[in-house]
Amino acid sequence: MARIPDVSREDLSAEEQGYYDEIVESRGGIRGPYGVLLHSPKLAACVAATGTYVRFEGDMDNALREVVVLATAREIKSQYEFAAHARLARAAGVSEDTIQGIAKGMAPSGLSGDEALVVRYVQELLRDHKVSAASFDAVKDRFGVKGTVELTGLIGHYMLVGQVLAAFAVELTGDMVAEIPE
Amino acid sequence: MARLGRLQREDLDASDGAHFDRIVELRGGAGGLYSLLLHSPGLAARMAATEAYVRFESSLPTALKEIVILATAREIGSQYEFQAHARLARQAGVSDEVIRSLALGEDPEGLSDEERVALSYARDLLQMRRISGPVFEAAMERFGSRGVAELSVIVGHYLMIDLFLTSLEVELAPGAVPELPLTG
Repeated sequence: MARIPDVSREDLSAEEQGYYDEIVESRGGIRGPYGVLLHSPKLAACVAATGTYVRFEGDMDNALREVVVLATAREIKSQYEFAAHARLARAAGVSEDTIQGIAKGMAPSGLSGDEALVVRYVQELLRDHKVSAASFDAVKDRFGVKGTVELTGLIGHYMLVGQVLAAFAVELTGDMVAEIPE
Repeated sequence: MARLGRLQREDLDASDGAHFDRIVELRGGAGGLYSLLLHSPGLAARMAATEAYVRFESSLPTALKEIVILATAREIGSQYEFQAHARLARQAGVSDEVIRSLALGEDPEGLSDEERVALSYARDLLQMRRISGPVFEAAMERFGSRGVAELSVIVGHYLMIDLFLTSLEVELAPGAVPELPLTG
């Protein structure tokens, strides 16, 4: 539940149902932020299109993308985003140690390689509001110019989604567990 | 200056050029930050679609949206974003006094009732990561569920833009005067 009910398909005009169906098609259903965001159907479709791009297109490994989303959710203290993506991270093969290290704020300590690199980048961006030359260059060397822009877009998209979740106080569903220590 | 080079139409191949054209069609140009986002043309085109919706199709008045964007830029300390949107705010009729007051994080005088509610909404979200009950109710009354969804995305979209500005170290044009108080 959230502060206002989710939009249901029959509340929408024919054109708006097109946007609804687009989101269902890309994600297999309407969940979390999209139920409330669909109160503005075309905007919901725009946001979903960016989400589809940063999640599924581009070259970054799927498990690493989920690490990025978890680190973002941890920085903005979004329990919903963290719980939803912890599940996806586990499915993509991210280790329990990595997930817990991010949830508890220990990471990048305990992480290595790409995981440490992207978590450090997320933290510098969101905590320090400044990315050091060392981190920027390391990200650019590893993922290229396009990959660096897309990594930043991935973080930004989940910042945006986090605002929707927070504004509407979207709550965890029955099968989700809060993983960020309060 | 920025950490990456800026791209123009002739730097792109045919399929990426189509994204460029789409961005120009959506928002009237592909300069500024978009010339950097174009290193990922597909992502840039999707972000331009969100921006174009927010700017041109949203149910909310232009001046009110610019006030929300200025409040967002102020909360995160983004000189570039504040500068760019101070210009758009002035074009939309927002007074210099209001812009100065937003730059200082104060409560501007002379806002409409709707603008005051939208400003409180944005500040609640940015400062507390939640919207207080009375502010959410007031926003629902004035803007409805569609408007409230759009307000939330406006804050989120400009936070997203700020991450690019920060990561890529996009700076004010030479000679431009910063409008936010300088810190540290």
